Amino acid sequence: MQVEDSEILTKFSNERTRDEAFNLLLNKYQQKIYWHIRHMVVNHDDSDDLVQDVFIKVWKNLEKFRNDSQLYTWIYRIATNECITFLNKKKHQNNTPLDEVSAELAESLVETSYFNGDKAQLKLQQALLTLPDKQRQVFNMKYYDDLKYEEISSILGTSVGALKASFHIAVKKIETFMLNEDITF
Amino acid sequence: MENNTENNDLEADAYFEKLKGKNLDSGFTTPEGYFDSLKDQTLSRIRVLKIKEQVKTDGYEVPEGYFQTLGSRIKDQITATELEAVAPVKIVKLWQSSLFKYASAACFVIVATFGIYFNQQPTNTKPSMSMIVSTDQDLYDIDEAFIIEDLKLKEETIKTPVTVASNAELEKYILNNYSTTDISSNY
Repeated sequence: MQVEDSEILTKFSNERTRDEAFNLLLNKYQQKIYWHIRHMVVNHDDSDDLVQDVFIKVWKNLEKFRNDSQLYTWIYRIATNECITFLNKKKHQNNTPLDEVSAELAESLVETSYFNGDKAQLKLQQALLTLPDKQRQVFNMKYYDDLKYEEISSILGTSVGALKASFHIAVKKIETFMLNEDITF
Repeated sequence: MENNTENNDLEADAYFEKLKGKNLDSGFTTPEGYFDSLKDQTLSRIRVLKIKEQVKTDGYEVPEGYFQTLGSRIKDQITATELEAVAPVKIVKLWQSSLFKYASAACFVIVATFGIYFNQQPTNTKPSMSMIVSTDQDLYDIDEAFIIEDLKLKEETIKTPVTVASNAELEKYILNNYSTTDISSNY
């Protein structure tokens, strides 16, 4: 049975039970956050670094968490920002244009030993990588994480209307890509 | 008994007709522009369902036992970060460093050399051409008679001797401005 966020927060506020609270938090969220990151940055090693960075930030800042949002949306927001920062850094590091970064990520998908997808799965990931980062995030959060628009709005700071439009465009693009028989692997 | 049921049904029908006649709506509302996007949203969901039918999982994998050890690695990182934060800061006294001493000496020599070099350069204070031109132009504009008169005045000033003070005036000046000690020490 999963522990409630309120219990985690109460235990964390007490120094004696802080470690126990953090363990509970890790058990509850580490996989969700890892996959959220992995769907964005593709590479396992990069995802590993980022997920650790996220939880270190959570550890440092959980005391200041104001309960004005759900705990998991707060953690998601940290993870999302880390992904955006990482991808932007990748673009600026070598002065790489945006579409080339996406191409790099798509290539790493094929080369990595931690991708075991069939052609359809590979094609879907390639399709996702053709989307702008924010659109991809919206799609991932709806498709993989099954989050509600209100939750995504809280995470990304974008209006629900804009998110719905973004999702609709993303899905259309992916459908076009998937149905394009000229693109094969 | 049957009559009662029939009567109840009739009453219900009559009431229903009465309600319909009042044309009351449900009172429910929708967000602004809702129906404009509803079609798109529905079609998107259907497309997603089709993709999920075609692609069951994302194909990503992780190393064996990854999630079993992730938590402890994160905690190790946190401990390392916290230790770094409280580690004593090593203080290095700059002025005890030999490199600092040699660098200071070198800077002093360079500055002193430049100072001496520039001090020894002759100063040329030639007026600029524009100054010369403007002076000439100013002189050209002045009336010649005025210049001659000015020169004569200066000559007179030079030729006219300075009025010499009388002995009495001198004596008075000395007594007023010097003490007897001053006067006696001078002799």
